[in-house]
Amino acid sequence: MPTLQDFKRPQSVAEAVAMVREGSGRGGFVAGGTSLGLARMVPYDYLVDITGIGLNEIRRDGESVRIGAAVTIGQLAISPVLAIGELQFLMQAVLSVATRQIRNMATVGGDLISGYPMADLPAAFLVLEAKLSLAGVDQETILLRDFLDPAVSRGLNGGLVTEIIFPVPPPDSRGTFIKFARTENDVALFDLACLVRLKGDQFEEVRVALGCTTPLPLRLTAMEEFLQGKRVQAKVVAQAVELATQDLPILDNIRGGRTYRKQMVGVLLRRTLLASVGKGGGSR
Amino acid sequence: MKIKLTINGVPRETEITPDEKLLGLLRREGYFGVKFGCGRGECGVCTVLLDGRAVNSCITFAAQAHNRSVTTVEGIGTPDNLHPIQEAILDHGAAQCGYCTPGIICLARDFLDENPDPTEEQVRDALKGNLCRCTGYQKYVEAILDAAGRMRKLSGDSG
Ligand SMILES: Cc1cc2nc3c(=O)[nH]c(=O)nc-3n(C[C@H](O)[C@H](O)[C@H](O)COP(=O)(O)OP(=O)(O)OC[C@H]3O[C@@H](n4cnc5c(N)ncnc54)[C@H](O)[C@@H]3O)c2cc1C
Ligand code: FES
Ligand code: FES
Repeated sequence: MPTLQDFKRPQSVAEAVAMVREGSGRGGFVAGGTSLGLARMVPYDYLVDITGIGLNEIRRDGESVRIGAAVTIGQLAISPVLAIGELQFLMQAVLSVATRQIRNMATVGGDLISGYPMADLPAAFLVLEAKLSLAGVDQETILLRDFLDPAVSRGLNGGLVTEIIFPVPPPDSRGTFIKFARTENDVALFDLACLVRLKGDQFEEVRVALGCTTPLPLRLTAMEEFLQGKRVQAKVVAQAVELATQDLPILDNIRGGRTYRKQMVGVLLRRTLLASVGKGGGSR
Repeated sequence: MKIKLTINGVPRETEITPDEKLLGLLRREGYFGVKFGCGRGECGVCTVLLDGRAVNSCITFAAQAHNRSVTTVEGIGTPDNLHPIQEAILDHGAAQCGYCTPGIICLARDFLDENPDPTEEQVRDALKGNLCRCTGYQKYVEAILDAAGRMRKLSGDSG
């Protein structure tokens, strides 16, 4: 087994991409290093550091927010750009990630795309309809939702994610994020992100994403479509939850068995939806 | 490979291997305030400041510290000139065996820099990444809140 032989520091995106490409699989990108630094054996001969190539800014661009892939999760937590009511749920997701020490190193790009199964940010960025900018591959952008499928991301191997971009949700939308874990310090059993817009007493638009309890983080599209245009009523929400959970591929592991998880997903979905339309039901 | 970094204010040039962790480098250089616990980013005893931000040195590559400044507990205060965080920990008798203390001091330094006037709940939340097997945290929480007050007073006095 090769051990790590070099740690390269490119100055630009183009240089970083070229450095990884010339190794034909032997080189890989490193951002915060919290995942690679944990590995007993780094699966590369050399690493290419992407924290010094200009991907460190968070900015508002008209109606969109653009986040450099190498921005740390800690930077998100104190960003004035994100400190707006419409994105409060995103901030909850950010602060739910690991510990202060990990957030100070781990990057947004790394949390979204490294495939870490208990990552908390994907669910929140999925309801924001985030897309990723890429460098080093033919495709220039891709929806996060598509990228999360390993079959798709494998095809983009060698590509560098440079930015995460999403439209700011309309001011009348209400967001909720819930991380449910066994203890305050543990990784999640469930992440639930929800963004709802009402028109009178009807659901105008509903976006719901689930993380950490299905093999991949996902949007609950059947439920979203069902709720659109429906009256805001406990009965309707119960039907939607039933629809969302009936065919859900649910994990069964040491943190929680399938039967428990399945029941809890329903409970949490109901609570989240009711909380986001101000009908109580608890926020935790 | 060679890297340049500043450790506790002193510029250094040192030889590392690409897979080496910052923890190993610091202890090799004699900064024994940096402790080894889990080696997995979970217990926080290896916490140091990298450009002022608390990080787990056990999972940080030494190479990531190139051209940056590292502060260990030795650089936060000295026995003759303690930092208010260290004074408060002593005054409250917050440390028992003391193994977790250097990490908690570094964590508190970063946290209070960002949030000089925290609530008790925020202090408890900040301590999530630092395990202490002895104290039950209560005295650390009190000490950090007290240190925050002392630091605000000092910065108020000087400015
Ligand atoms: C103790 C511990 C607890 C944790 N708890 C949580 C938690 O509660 N919630 C949570 O969400 N996460 C948690 N994590 C996971 C942590 O958030 C991830 O390790 C981190 O987000 C990865 O980001 P990084 O920048 O450190 O990635 P790195 O380690 O630098 O890279 C990880 C992988 O992603 C690739 N990569 C990184 N950035 C890019 C890019 N821009 N383009 C292409 N490829 C890229 C790298 O090549 C590498 O393969 C925890 C981790 C640890 C160690
Ligand atoms: S030794 Fe680094 S976190 Fe435990
Ligand atoms: S004082 Fe002993 S581990 Fe904290």
